[in-house]
Amino acid sequence: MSFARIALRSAVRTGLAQPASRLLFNRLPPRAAFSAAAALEPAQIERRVLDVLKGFDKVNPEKLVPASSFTEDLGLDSLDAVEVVMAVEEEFAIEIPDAEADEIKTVQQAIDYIAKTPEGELYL
Amino acid sequence: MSARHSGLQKEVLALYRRALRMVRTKPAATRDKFHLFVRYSFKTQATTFSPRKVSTVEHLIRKGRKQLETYESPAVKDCWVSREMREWSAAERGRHTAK
Repeated sequence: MSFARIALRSAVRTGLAQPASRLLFNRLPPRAAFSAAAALEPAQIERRVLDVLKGFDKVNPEKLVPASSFTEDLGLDSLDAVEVVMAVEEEFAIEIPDAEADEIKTVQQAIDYIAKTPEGELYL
Repeated sequence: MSARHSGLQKEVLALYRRALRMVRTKPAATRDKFHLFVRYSFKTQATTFSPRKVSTVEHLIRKGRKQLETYESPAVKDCWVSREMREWSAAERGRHTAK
């Protein structure tokens, strides 16, 4: 009996030693935290892709429209184009495989790729 | 140069992509230095060697891969940036903002 009491006391003590946030968490009723982000709006994708491109020194903002080609209209070389696609990847937290990244040559193609890509894994 | 890339060119671009991915894994404090180093290495070599010299380009790709393997190690946390690299970067930025 006394042994059980000691055991109970030590259990209570370790319980108190837990941080306050942890205690609060334990008191909340358990529930599954599911949430799904809404799919990105096409207009939003376009704006974000264009914003990424505006961040490049070499890109002339006046020539920048969705139809422009990285190499022909924006005056980028093939290495810059790779860098643009990588920046888009970073903006949307996705990774585009090499074969598909090679096919992205215009702003519109980048926008389309993001639009058809299912929601990337969320980084938690 | 834009419409179709040759196999060799694709290899270079794949290597560049891999190098840029390596940059992302580096600590935020030194990431800019790695980025400059990668860009400088590719851009200057792209202008100094003719794309027609296939064996030279192949050699550079092999060399770059070896070098990248070293840099990809998580133990590498910082890299050295020479004065030429900084000057090149400043000149490049000036060239585009002036336009």
